Amino acid sequence: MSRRLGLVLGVLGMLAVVPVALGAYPTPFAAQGGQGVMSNDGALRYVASKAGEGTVVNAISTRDGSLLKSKAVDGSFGVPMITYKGPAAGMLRDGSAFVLQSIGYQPETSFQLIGTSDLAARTAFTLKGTFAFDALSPDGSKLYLIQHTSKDDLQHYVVRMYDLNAHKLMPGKIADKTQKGWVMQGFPASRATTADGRWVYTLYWNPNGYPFVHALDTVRGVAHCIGIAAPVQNGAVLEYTMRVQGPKLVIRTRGGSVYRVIDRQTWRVSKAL
Amino acid sequence: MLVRLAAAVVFLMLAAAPAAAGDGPMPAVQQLGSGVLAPDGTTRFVAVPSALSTVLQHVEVQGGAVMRAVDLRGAWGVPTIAYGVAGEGLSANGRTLVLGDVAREYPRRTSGFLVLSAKSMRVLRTISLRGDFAYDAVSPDARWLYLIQHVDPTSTERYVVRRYDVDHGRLVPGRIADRTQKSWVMAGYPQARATSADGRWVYTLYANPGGYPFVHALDTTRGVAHCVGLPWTGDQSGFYNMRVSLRNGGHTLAAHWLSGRPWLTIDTRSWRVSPDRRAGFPWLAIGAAAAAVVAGAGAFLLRRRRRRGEELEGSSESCFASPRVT
Repeated sequence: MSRRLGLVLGVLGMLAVVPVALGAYPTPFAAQGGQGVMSNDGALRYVASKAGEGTVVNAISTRDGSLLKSKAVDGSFGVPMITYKGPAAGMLRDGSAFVLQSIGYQPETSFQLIGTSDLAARTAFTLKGTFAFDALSPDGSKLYLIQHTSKDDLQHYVVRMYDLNAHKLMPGKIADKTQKGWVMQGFPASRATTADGRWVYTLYWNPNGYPFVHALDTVRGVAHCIGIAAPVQNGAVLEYTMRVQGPKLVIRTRGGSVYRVIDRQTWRVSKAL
Repeated sequence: MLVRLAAAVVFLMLAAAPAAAGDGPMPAVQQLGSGVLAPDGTTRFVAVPSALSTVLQHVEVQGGAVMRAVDLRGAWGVPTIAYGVAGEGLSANGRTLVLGDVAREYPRRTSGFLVLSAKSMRVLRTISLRGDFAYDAVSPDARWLYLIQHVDPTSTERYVVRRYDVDHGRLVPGRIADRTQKSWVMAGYPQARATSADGRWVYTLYANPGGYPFVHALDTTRGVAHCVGLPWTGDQSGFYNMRVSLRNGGHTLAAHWLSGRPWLTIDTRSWRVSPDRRAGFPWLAIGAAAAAVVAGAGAFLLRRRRRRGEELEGSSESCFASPRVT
């Protein structure tokens, strides 16, 4: 128990040094201020800020920092952050809308899909339970969510799918069917996505075991987990980066050297490119 | 009725403005938009309206990330003196930011300002003044805040400049006026502004319908002002396209059109007004080339230029009655 508390406090400590106003929780979480989420052409970033009991969402020019649009949103919302160091996520592939998530770990979690043209809510829904944004399918019809099994245990989770067309949380979890005993636990450290937006890879730091990559096919709604060797200092994984390079998924250390390479077809792990 | 009509006009002007502003025919504060730029040009402060509050955001110019945001109760904005010009309110040392309240009527019974630390964005002082005031300038160290006090409820054109002691939280009695020209009546609409590199001198170009346009030169450290009349006898409605800028190490204030076409210069030590003879955009060469191609049109252009020169040189000597050009 004390170990778990120490871990959570450690992650919170790391979050504390991030120079923006965050919804200070272990990742994924919703952030206010900071980088926000970028438009697909990179011309704008959408940033949520606290405004009394509510939130204002701003469209900010990345060219000169001027604020072009703003909209007040009822409730306390932020832009989803996949890892503590960002970047934020939640933009639809066609750039027409982005996801806002309620701040904090609560028994209920709210989401809004905000149109980029007018910053108005396209869809809003609330789920019972502690959820966080994970990914979107390329066509924007499927929203993948991290559901924490308990708001007091932020390591353990399952991946769920919300149908944005049918407006309902689909039953069951998105898991690696080939490794049914795999327990999803850890904190996201890095994220990489294929150019077509279909495959989303998340590197997890697992304080109680091996780090692993969660590979999610956002079109078919299937996942695969690939465990990798833990470095001498297990927590160093939080500083690792990951990138899709053709058929490979390359994980690098903070210094930039290749740590592991994963074949995206066979899931075979190697030490070099 | 007049006030209602003015309010309607204001509303329409605001609707057409690129950023939501909040005051009379001349905007007093700005929400959204480009806010006010920090002296080093790397960040800006922008006020964002919300339901019951204002979110003041400190934004990086390159990339647009929000470095810090504070939620301020009430409706506040970044001061601005005219449409199309940069927001103001940040002291030249970059440490202090002044915000003005968003006005819903004219004239206001009370006017509010916030003085904040630019670093922590903490409110250092809340100012509430009886009457209709608008931000004019702040001294480089933010000790003095200069305010436009509108003195005629039927016209925003008439005003006096007042000085507010930020350290002691009090409005200094009396007005800031040109002591050498005591009869000068402050009437007009600010159109453009230039500030000396150290933030001490603030030069504001005013359009003055029914009179001569003028530059109000304010020494924000000493709290003294000088008015310099400008020789313009025609319609001033196009003055929103006029800009002022400093050159020669701040010794020359140039008034020019937005296009860059020069008009006048003012020596900021002697206040002498001269036609701007600087070789700027090659209007003469273009005119001559056009004349070569279309002789008739060229001759017409040359005649216009000559007539304009005579107009400048023929102005009166008196600074009160009409401006002096040398």
